[in-house]
Amino acid sequence: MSGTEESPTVKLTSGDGFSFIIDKAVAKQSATIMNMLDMSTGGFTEALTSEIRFPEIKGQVLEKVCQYLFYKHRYADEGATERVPDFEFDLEISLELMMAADYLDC
Amino acid sequence: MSFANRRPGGRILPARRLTPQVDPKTQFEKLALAIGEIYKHNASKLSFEELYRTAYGLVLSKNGQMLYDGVKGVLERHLRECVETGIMQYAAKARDEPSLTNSEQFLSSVRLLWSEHVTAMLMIKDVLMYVDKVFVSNARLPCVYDMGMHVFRDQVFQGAEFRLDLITTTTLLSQIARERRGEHINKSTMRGITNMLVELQDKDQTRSVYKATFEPLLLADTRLRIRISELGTAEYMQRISDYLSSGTTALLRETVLQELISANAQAVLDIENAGLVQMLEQRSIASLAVLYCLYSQVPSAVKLLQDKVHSHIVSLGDHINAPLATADDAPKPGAKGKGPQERHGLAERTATAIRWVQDMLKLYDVYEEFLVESFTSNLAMRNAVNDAFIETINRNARSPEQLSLFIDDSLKRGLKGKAEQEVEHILERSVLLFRFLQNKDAFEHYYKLHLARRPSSLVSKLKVECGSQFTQKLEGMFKDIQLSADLVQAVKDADVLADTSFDMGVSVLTPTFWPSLWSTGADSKEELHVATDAYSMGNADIKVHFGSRTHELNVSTYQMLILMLFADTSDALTTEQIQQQTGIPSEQLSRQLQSLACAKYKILNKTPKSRDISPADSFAFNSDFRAPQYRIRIPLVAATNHMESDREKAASQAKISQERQLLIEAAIVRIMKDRKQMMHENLVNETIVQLSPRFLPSSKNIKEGIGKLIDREYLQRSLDDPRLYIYLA
Repeated sequence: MSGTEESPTVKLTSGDGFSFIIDKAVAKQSATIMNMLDMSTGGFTEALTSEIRFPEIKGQVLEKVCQYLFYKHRYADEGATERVPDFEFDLEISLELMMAADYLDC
Repeated sequence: MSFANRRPGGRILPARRLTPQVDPKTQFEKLALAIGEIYKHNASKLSFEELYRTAYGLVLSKNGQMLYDGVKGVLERHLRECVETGIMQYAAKARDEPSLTNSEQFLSSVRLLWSEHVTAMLMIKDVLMYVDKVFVSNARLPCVYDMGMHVFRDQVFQGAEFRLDLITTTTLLSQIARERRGEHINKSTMRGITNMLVELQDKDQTRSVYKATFEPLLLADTRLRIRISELGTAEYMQRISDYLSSGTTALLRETVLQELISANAQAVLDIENAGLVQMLEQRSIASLAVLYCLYSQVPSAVKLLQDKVHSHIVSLGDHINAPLATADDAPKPGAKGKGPQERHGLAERTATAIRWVQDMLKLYDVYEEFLVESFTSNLAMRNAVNDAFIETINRNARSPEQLSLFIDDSLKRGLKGKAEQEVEHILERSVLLFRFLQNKDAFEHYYKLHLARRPSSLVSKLKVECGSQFTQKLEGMFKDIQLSADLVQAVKDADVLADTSFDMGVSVLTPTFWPSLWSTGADSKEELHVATDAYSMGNADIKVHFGSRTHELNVSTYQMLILMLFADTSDALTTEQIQQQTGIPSEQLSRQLQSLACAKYKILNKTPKSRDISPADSFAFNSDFRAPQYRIRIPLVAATNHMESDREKAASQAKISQERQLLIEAAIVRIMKDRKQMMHENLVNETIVQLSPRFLPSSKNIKEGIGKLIDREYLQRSLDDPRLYIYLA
């Protein structure tokens, strides 16, 4: 993807080669990703190519992260007016998911 | 990420690294290189994720401190290098030869380094966000961005070997001076540099470098230039505000005002032959307006102006007060002919009193004009002027009496042909002065004493000014007049006098409302509810035969009594004899005799033929009396309201203070009834507050009042605290 024109989506690639293309607005629920895509000071490679590689995160975990980003995007602004459903995930990946959350600040 | 629900079963898998472990030193080297690249604008070739992951790894492996210090070191080295290669050459030139070009080159080089540093720090801070998030907050260090700013301040700006701060501030000042001289300077560079100074925190962390170092220098510089008169245009102030921090403009303005106005305020007021006193005396409305416009911008100067105006009014007021003081102090003109001379002296004093009021009003008019025309009706100025009038008017102990006399005099004249509006106007002006009186109750006393005809409009004006309680008595006087008229009408309607040769009139005078008329009564309290005949107030119509002619004379009751004496005898009678036979009080008698013997109609012949009545003078019936009309009214020589003699004055004072004592006690009881318990000071203060619309009670009088109330068991001192009073219901 070329960096000359700002793309509305970003491609997130896991360490084991899985790619997820999601809306930037959704991806920016993670403070880390938001900084990576920041163009105001010139921008790093990621900002210019709209592509981020996460060599330390497995595809299985990154998929759950993406789901969570959508989940957060959907419900972050909801007040107590609407019932927010639980976010579900497998217990096996809970530790890795926690580390990814810390890393991505989301 | 939050864990709302976990699916049961399964095993938590251990986190496993996917990338090979690298030693911390190598990891840091990678970051240090990246920082260099960022400064070189090569960030687009760097992977944020890789750098972020590196910093993340270092923090997790407890190498946060190494990383933080390392970054700081990299920044320090980088900036020093930049200064040495990119700035020092210009700095040296700007310092040694501060020409326009050298100054601008230097300033723009500093500005460039600053803006690049800021941009780089924004990126570095993002890459190191995990350091801020985890390491910095635990280690209680400045966050990465602030650390970068401090490095800039300590290494570049205030670094010992460069001291760019000194060169920068002097260059800024010289640029400002250039602009003042009309040269063109690069404003955006100036703006950039001042922004940098604003953004950099001083070492004490409470204010910016701009506030700490540059601004004081700028203000001092400005002050100096005003002193040597190099500065003086508002245009300069306007231009300089384009590139200075916004707060500075106000401070500069203050400095300019301070230097131009405060420093000279006193001197300008005191200029000989052109100072404030001259402006006031020559009524230079315009000059005063300019003066006020300037001074009003500096509180200390406007205070000076107020004080000066105040003291000038007071000195003019003293001038007006002066004749009164001398009139009072003048020795009594000898003992020999006390009667006529004292009377003369009194008349003159009365005239002085009226002149006093007129002069005061004139003075007030002048200052009212200044207030409106020159001082923009400013409230503080008005207060200063009013205070001055209060002070000067109350310096004259007799002002309440004089004001009352003035109103009396104006009304007497007013009836002789002045339009109602004019009378109204005079009354309005009187109320103006009345407002300044502190002893309003003293005025009330004299007012009741002096005046027979009270236009109710004045009473209602006073009511507005002082409240209804104050005018109660005056209104009582009017009620009596009304009641009298009603009674006469009732008698006439009843027709009881139809078959007698008398006609009759009645006047109702309630003693408390008409104290002056009752002063002869021994103890007015005992007579309070007794209807008393007041001979001095009545009058009668009598027929008198003068040889062959007959006249009907309208005379007072006393005059009738005197004339009755001569109906039985044609001999002359001395003043003493007349008094013995009629029993008329002597102070009344001389007035009555004057009316009969010395006025227009001489019913009696007096020997010797002078105006004054002494006990040995003799009177005889004048049977040669001639007058064109049949019916003649013998007017009673007016008991002129004059300034009180000292004896009368003492009596007035005693009466006033007696009345005050009652008011004080009543106020204390009112307060204590409400509060039940009160400390001494509070009670005294509250009493003063309650009574101050009427007069200012002294704390001595209040203490006396409290003492009396304790004696009468209205109050009691607390047993625990003698300063606490308890109300006994």
